[in-house]
Amino acid sequence: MNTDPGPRPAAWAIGMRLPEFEPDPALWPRIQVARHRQVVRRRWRHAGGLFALVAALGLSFTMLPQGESVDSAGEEMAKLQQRSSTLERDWLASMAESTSARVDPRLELIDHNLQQAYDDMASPSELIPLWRKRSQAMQEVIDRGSVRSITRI
Amino acid sequence: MGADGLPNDIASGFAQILDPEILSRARRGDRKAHDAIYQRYGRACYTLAMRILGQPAAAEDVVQEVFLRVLDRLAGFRGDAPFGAWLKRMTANATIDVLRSARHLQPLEDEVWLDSLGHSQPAVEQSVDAWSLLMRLTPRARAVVLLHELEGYTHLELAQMFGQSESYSKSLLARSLQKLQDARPGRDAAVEVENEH
Repeated sequence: MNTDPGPRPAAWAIGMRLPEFEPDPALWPRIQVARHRQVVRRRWRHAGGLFALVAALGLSFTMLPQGESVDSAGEEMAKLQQRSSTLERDWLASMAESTSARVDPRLELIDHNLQQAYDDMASPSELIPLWRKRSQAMQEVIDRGSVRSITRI
Repeated sequence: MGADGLPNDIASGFAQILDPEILSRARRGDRKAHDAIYQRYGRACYTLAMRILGQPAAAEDVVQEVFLRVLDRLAGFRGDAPFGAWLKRMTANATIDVLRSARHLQPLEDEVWLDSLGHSQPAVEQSVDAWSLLMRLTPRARAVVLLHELEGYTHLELAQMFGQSESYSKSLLARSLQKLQDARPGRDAAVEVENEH
């Protein structure tokens, strides 16, 4: 196929000027109205986006205390474990001076429950009371000068 | 250069220079500057869309779409090309988008010839023949003829605009021009016959 238009365009077009067309005078006002609507629509959309952002921030703000409680729980459990470890060192020091170290059934039960809780992937909220109980029980044992009832976990 | 020997943009009005001050104010959202841009180029946009689509309502939709885009993108217009050329490209693309969206209504789109004449009447009497002939082409064929022959777009550019190959554009143009060429003598003969009676 011959795709070269050659001189034909000039042949049909020379002297046959195509008409110019005048748009409806109301067209530009219509475009301005459409533009105004477009701008307003975008503002609402932006406002909606902003509202959604604020709502999301508000939601995260309300959820923040829960996050903090998780962090607090972790911190509290770490403190209890540290406390328990310190008490245990105190107990070991006192036990070195004793000749009759015996297992305290209450501590034995607490340690058993702790081990079970860890095996069950327990949450901090379940572990904290057990660690707190262990520290209290350990403190009581030390305070009593008793070395009868200690187990190590 | 257009087929009529005149610079293409003068023929369609897109080559008018836009005052940088107007452009600057338009970028800042000055409505009077927007008015000035429309007054300068609105007619050129409408004429190009009208010549291709042949329907005033569709051409007005194109102009509206183009100017909404222009107002949106003015801030990003870097001035690498003349404003009129940028606007002309936008108009051509928007017009071709209309042709694409109306594809299902044009089962004969790949043919170059329509039997019926277009809906619009020419604005200038001396343009009747050219306009009548063009309006007998399918919109796609008309678009290729006008954009290539009068607006100076290359086949590569047309291929990109239509999402087709260059050979598609070349083939459609060649067939369209041949049809136009073939039709002229027939019309002339018809006029001569009428004058004899």
